[in-house]
Amino acid sequence: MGEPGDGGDRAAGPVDAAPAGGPRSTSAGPGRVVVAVYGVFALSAGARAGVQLATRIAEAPLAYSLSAFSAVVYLLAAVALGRGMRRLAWVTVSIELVGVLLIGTVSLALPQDFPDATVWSTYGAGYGFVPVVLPIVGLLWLWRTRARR
Amino acid sequence: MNETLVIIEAVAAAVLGLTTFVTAALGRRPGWVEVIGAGVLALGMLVQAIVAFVLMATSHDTTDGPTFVLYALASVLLLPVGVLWAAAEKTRWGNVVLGVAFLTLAVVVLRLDVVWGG
Repeated sequence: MGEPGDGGDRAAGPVDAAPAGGPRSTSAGPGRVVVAVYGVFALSAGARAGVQLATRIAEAPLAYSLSAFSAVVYLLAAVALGRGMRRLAWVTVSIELVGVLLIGTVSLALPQDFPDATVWSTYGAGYGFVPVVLPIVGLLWLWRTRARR
Repeated sequence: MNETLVIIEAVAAAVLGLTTFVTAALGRRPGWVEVIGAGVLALGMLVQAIVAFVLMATSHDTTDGPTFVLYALASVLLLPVGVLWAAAEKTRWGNVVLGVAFLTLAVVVLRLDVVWGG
């Protein structure tokens, strides 16, 4: 059940052996890229939040705590997608989408509480808006790989 | 950090990244060019990080020590981890993973320079 344009470049293997109607692996094919990007964001948000909380927590405790929260969400999503834990993936990616939209809006409404950019500030503007596109991609991918009866 | 060197590194990473995306669009998986390119760049990152750490320890005052260290570690680990993650995917998507690693490295190198320069 390959995508159009895939041609013959996919060798049959364990990934394709899911029973007809079963869910496809979330970490194969394009999923590999999805997991990679989630991994990059988990590390980047985690490092940023770590430095912020360790050195300047008094400046903006709300923003930096949210920063840490986003890092945890990215990490869980990366692990869930990487290991095929579909329910956890659905939950974390949904939280991620709500998070970036909510925090993005709050950061615009209350800029004084967000002196230092966090991953979700201004809808991820500091990260090329990837943070707002990524959860949509994640949800689409989960939908694409779902079990079909 | 030497500005010219940083630009060369970022451009090299970006070019390699775009190359992998083109090869992926052509349906091919990572080949020797990409892997050797990754190896050369990764080695360069390692040397650069070691030099930077030595300089930091002995003299230079960066704007934000912890941030610099984390970016430097990221610059060293990105390509090796990227190659490993890409290697298990025997299709064109492995190439895309490598491309993501290369482009992320380009960004990391530029950020590294900004944090170093103050």
